[in-house]
Amino acid sequence: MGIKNLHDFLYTFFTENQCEIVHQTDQDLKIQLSAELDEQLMNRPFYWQYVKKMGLEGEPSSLYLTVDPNQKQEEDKNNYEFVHFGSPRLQQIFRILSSKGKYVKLYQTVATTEHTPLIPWLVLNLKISYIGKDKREVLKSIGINMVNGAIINQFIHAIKHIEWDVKTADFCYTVTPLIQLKHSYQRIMQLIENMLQQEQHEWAAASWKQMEKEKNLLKQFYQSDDEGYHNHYEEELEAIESMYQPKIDISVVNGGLFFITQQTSFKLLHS
Amino acid sequence: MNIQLMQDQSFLNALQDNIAKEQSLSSWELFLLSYQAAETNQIKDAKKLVTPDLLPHMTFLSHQLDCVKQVVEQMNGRAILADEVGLGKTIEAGLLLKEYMIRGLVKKALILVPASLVNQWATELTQKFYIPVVTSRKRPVWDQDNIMITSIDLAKREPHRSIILEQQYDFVLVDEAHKLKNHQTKSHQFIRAIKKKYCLLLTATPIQNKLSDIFNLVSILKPGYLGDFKTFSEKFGKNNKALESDLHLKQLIKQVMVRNRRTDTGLEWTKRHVETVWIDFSKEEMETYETLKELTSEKASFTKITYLRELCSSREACYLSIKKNTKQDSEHYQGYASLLEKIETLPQHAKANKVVELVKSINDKCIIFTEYRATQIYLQWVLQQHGITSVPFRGGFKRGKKDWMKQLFEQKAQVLIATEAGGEGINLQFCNYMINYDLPWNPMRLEQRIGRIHRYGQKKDVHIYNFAIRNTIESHVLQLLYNKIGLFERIIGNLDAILADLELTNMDKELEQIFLQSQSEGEARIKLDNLSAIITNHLPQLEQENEYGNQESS
Repeated sequence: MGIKNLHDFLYTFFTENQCEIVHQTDQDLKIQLSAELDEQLMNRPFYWQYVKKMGLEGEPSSLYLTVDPNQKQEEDKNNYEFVHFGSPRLQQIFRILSSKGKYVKLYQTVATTEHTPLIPWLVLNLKISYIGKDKREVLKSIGINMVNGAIINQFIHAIKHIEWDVKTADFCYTVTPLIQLKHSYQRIMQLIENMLQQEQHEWAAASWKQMEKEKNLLKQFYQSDDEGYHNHYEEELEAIESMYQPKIDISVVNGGLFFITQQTSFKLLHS
Repeated sequence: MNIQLMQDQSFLNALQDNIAKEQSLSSWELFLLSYQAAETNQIKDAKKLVTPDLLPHMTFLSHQLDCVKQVVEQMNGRAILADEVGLGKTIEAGLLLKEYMIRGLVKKALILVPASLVNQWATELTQKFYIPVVTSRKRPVWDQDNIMITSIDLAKREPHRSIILEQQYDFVLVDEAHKLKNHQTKSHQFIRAIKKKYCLLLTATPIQNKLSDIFNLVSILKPGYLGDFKTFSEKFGKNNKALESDLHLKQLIKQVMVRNRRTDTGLEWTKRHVETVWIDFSKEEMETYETLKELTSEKASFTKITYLRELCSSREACYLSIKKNTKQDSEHYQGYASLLEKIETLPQHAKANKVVELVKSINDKCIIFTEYRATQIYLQWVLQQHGITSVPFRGGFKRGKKDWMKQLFEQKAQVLIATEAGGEGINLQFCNYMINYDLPWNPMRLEQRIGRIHRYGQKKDVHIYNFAIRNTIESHVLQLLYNKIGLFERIIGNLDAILADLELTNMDKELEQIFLQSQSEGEARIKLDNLSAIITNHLPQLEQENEYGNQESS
C-alpha cells in the first residue's frame, strides 16, 4: 500500500487535523494551519508560550507546499516549500502521525432500523525488524475476533473500504468480549512468535558467524599486547556484540478496537 | 546461535488506558495514514540503499554509491574512506550516516573534524542530507541523542573527554584520520576508547610513512584484522614495499578500506592551465637583494634565507622580520641598519605592480596566496589603491569570520588574499583563477592551495599563475624543482606519499639546507637538480604501488 500520492496524503493529513485548505492544484496546497498543528510544525514555541500566558487566541500561520516545484514559475518557487519523501517536513508529519494515529476505537457505520450487534475485534499493525549486520522490516496487520478468537491476516487491507465512525450507529450495540483485550493481545503476539519460529533465519546465522569471527580476531589482537596498545577488550567486545548480535524487534505501529457487524465479520473471515 | 527477541512494552497499557479514558483516539483516516506512512518508511530490502531516492536534489556519482554499498554490505559500517582529494569523501560519509539514520540504526553520532571545518561539515550535512546536526559551542552537551560535530582537539580535552568516553555512540566519524596513525598519541588512544558501533575514518593519505600507519588505523576499526602489533611489525617493520608483494595483506586491507583514485572514476576534470609569470626586480630592489645576500653573519645566516624569500614577496615582510630580530639580538645585526634604511626607500614591489596588472586583465574572481601576513596587508592596500575589492583570509580567523569572508568573496569582492594557514579546507570552486604570489617550499601546501579551486564541482578550466622573480632563490625553486617534477600539471593526490616514501616530509628544511650549504649558485643548482631527479624517478614506481585498497566493488 504505502503512500501512493503524496498530494492526497498531505491533503488528508491537514484536513483531518482541522486545517483549512485555502487553495489547491494538483501539485500545490495552501493551508491555513490550526493552532495545534502550528505549534507542532512551525517551530515557534516562544510565540505560543507568550500567547497562552497572555490568554490570547494566537494566529496560526499558513503553509504553502508543493510536491513538484518544477511546475512553478521561478519567482513563485521560493514561496512554496518542496515536499518529497526525504524532506524534513514530511519526516515531521510522519512523527506527528505516529503518535496521533496510534490508538483507535471505531465502529462500523451501519444504516439500519433493527437492533444490530457489533463484534469487537482487536487489530494490531506490527512492525517486525530483523536486525543483524543488516536490517530488514516486515509489516503485519492482524485482527482477532474477541468473541470466538478467529484470526485474520492483512486485516487493515481487508477493511479499507468499510466506513468507520468514532460513535456507534443508531440501533447498534456492542457485544461484550469473551477474550479480554490483554489476552487477545497476547494471542496475536504468540501467533507472531510461532510464525518466527517457523522461519529460516539465514540472516541471523550469517550475522552470528561474523560476530564469532570478529570476536576471535579481537582475542588474538590482545594476545601479545606489549607495544602500548591500551587494552579495550571489554568495550570492543561489547561493540562487536551490539553490531552483530541478531535481534528481532516486534513493535506496534498502531492498533485498537474495531466493532464490526456479524455479517461483515463473516465476510472478512471467508474472503 | 541465539536470537534476541524484543517486544513492544508500552502499547497494550497505553491502549487500555486510552480506551478507558476515551482519550487520544484517532480517526479512521489518520489511523490509515499512519499505517501508510509506516509502510512507506519500511526497510523492505536489507541491501538496497534507501537514501539516494530521498534526496532528489543531489546527484551522486557512481563511485560514491559503490563505496557506500560496499561499506554497508561488506564492511558492516566500519571502514577507512581513502578516496583521493576531491572525489567526495564527505558525500560518501554523509550518505552512509543518512542511510544508517533512516534505517533506525544510528541516533547518536560524533563527527570529529578539524576545527576550521566544523561549520562546513554542518552546512553540508544539513543542506545536502537534511541531517539535523549540533555543533559544539561554548558548552557542548554530550549526553543527548544527537549528531554532534566538533573538533578532535576540543573533544579530547577535559572535561569533555571523560563525558564523551561515558557515552555509547552509534556512529563515530573522524575526518583527516591520518592524524591517528601513531598509536601512542593521545588522539589515537582517545578514538579507540570511545564506545562506538559504526566508525568511519576519512583520509586521502592512509599510508604516510610506514605500513604501521595503516595497521594503527585498522586497529581502531577492526582490531585483529591485521594480526597483532608485534607480529605485524616483525613481519613488515618499516618495509613499505610489502604492500606490493604481500597479496594477503593487500586483500586484508581491501576488506576495510575503500580507495577511489581520480583515474578510476572516469570523471571529466576541467583543464588546468599553469603559467609562470617572470618578473624583474627594479634596479634598486635588485641592489638591495644583492646587499642582503652578501651580508654575512654567523648567526644570522640561517634566517638570511628567510629574509631573501621575504624580500621577494614584499618590502614590508622583510623589513618587519629584520626589525624584529634586530631588536632581540642587536649584536649580530649591526650590518643591517643601513639595509633597513635602504628597504625603506624602495619603490612599490615589482610583483605587486604585476599583480594589479594581472588581476585587472583577469577581470574575474581570483585568489592570491602569499606566505606572509605583512604581504597580505600590503597587497590589500595596493589593490585598494587601484580600485580592486579584496578580502583577507587567515588561519587565525575565527570560524564565523572565515565563513563571512568566504561569503563576501563569493558575493562582493573580486579578490581573496589568503595566507598559508588559510588554505586548508575551504572550498572555493566558484573561483577559477589563482595567483601564487610567492611559493611555499613545501609542495604539499601547494597541492592544498590548488585543491581549493581545482576540485570536484569546478565547472571551468582552472588558471594558475606562479610568480617568480628572475635571478633569485625563488626562480631556482620554481624552475629547478617544481617545474621539473611537473608539480603543477600533476593531478593532486599522491604527492605526499611520494615525499614520505623518500623521507622528504620536511621539504622546507631540505631546501634551506641546500641553499645554506652551497658555496655557489652553481652548486645549489646541481643539488636542486638532483633532488628533482630523485622525485621524478620515483613517480612511476609509486603510481603502481598505489593500487592497493579497494577501488570499487570488485
